[in-house]
Amino acid sequence: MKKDLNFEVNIMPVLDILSVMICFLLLTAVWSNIQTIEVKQAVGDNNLQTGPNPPSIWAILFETGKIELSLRDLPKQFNKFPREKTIDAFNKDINWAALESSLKNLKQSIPDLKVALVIPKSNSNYGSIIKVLDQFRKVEITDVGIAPL
Amino acid sequence: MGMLNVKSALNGEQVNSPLLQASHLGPYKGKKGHKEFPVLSLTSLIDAFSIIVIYLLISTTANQFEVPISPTIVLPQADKGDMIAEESPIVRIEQGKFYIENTWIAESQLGKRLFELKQKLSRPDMPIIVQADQQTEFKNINPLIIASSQAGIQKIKFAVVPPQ
Repeated sequence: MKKDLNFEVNIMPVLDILSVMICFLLLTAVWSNIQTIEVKQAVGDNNLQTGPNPPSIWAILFETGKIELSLRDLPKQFNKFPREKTIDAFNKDINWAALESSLKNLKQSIPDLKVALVIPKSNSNYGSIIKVLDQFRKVEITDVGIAPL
Repeated sequence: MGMLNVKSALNGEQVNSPLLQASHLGPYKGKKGHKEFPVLSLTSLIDAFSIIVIYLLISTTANQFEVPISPTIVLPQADKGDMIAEESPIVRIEQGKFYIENTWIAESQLGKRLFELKQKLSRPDMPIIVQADQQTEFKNINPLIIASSQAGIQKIKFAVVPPQ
């Protein structure tokens, strides 16, 4: 009588290999993902560009946590729009909630606003500067630069 | 016919196959009565292991470059950071000192060295990745911003970590 040939692969070595692979990958995995916030700085040939400047917002950061926002190069239809706004400090830090809501309102009113310049003071905290840049990016103001001292 | 009936290593494997023994969870019926014992299903274990391996392989290699960070630096946090899509020179600022690719550079030489690096890599639009501690004061970062403008570097990428 013909016996069935029931071929099977031994799965124990497969399990061993998979276990070793899992251990290796877990040990070598990088768990903290580094991301970047990009700023676009002005260089020498920027003055060659012709045409009107796009609307922009300047943010002056003070050591006390106060921020002064000022709008530049707005189109004519925004002539009556307030150009300056001050956000006072909150607990000796930037009032992040007020900044976020102000930027949201500005972006809603001026959808073409995509350029921003952050002007820190010499003692401004780097973490706070990055957080301000992040706030701009949250409201789709993506062409951001930092003014040197 | 004769070849199939020979006692081979394959036959032994067939009789003692762990898959055959472990592929089900059911009662073992002995000669004298019912003895039940659970058996771990190896097939599902392999399935789970394979999924974990594939997940780890994909998540560790998905469009990212490995960027070393100094253990003394606590990077600032940001919600809207971009993934690092291309390899770029890393400039580290640590205790007021500047390091380009782990080499200490004097503040006065910063612009020159960045320009040389840009020429060497033949990348006119070369960005730099800046690593600095979140407590650093801006006066310590300012020389790098001036130097990068002097070197004609338009894009500065500040390294951040997503909020925990």
